[in-house]
Amino acid sequence: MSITTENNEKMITLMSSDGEEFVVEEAVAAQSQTIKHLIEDGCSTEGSIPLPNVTGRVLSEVIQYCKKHSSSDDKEEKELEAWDAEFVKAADDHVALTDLMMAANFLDIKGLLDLVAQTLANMITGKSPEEVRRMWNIKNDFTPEEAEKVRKENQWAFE
Amino acid sequence: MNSIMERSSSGTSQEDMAEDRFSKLPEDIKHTILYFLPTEADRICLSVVSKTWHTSWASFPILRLSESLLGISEVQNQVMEEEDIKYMRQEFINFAKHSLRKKTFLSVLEVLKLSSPQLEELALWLSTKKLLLLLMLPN
Repeated sequence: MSITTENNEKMITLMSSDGEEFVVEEAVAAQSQTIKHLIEDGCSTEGSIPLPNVTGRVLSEVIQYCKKHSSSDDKEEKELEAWDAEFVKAADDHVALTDLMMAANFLDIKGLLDLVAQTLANMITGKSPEEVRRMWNIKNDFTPEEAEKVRKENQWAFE
Repeated sequence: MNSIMERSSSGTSQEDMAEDRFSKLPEDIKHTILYFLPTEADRICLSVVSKTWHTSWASFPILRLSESLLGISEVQNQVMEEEDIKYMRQEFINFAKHSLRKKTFLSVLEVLKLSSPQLEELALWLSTKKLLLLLMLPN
């Protein structure tokens, strides 16, 4: 199978981990470097690519992003930035964003990865360690002695 | 009775959601998040959340040392006793050395708005450790 990103008519089927199928233009799917390479290597026999690490819910968000970014050109940068901001706002839940980040990493979509990382970083900024722990249910696995040592070493950095 | 049921059921659903996926992110993604945090204080804050995040911070290759970490604003500078400033600057140097020791890898040391005596002391200390900024630092 040869890849022709100019040919917008060429369709490809992506299958999520929970069996949901998404039929998208090849140019949209190829926003993902992982999928692009799979297509180039001829791994999409019968035009279907299974994505065992990505659920249907997350994949539909990823496709939304890829559609927008494959149809916009550089001239629309400002509009695209506004769209990105709305996109992460719609998924305004740090746990959902964490899933989206995992998918962006697996699918190798640099723009989406940076967008979500920036959003998560913004959510963390200015929060106390305890608040960050609560957000993601992170277990404080320092021993009391270690915790005290870490607190002492860094205490004035927080003031 | 109802309230007990409610409490226990909400407790269960919370446990279902309790999986900490944030800490299970691959190392390079954690570094990407650290990269986007605006200040070293924010990065340090994340580093004390858990051992996992402390390890990620330690291998994150950028350390940004700035006097703004000290909280000495220019206004404060004027009203603070010289001795207090001296003390805080010494604390800062101690912190800088401590952070450098903890780094398992470092390729960029950003030094912002440090007074020249501090810079000199830091440079001197680095040279006694025979450390170059592009070398691996001992933990």
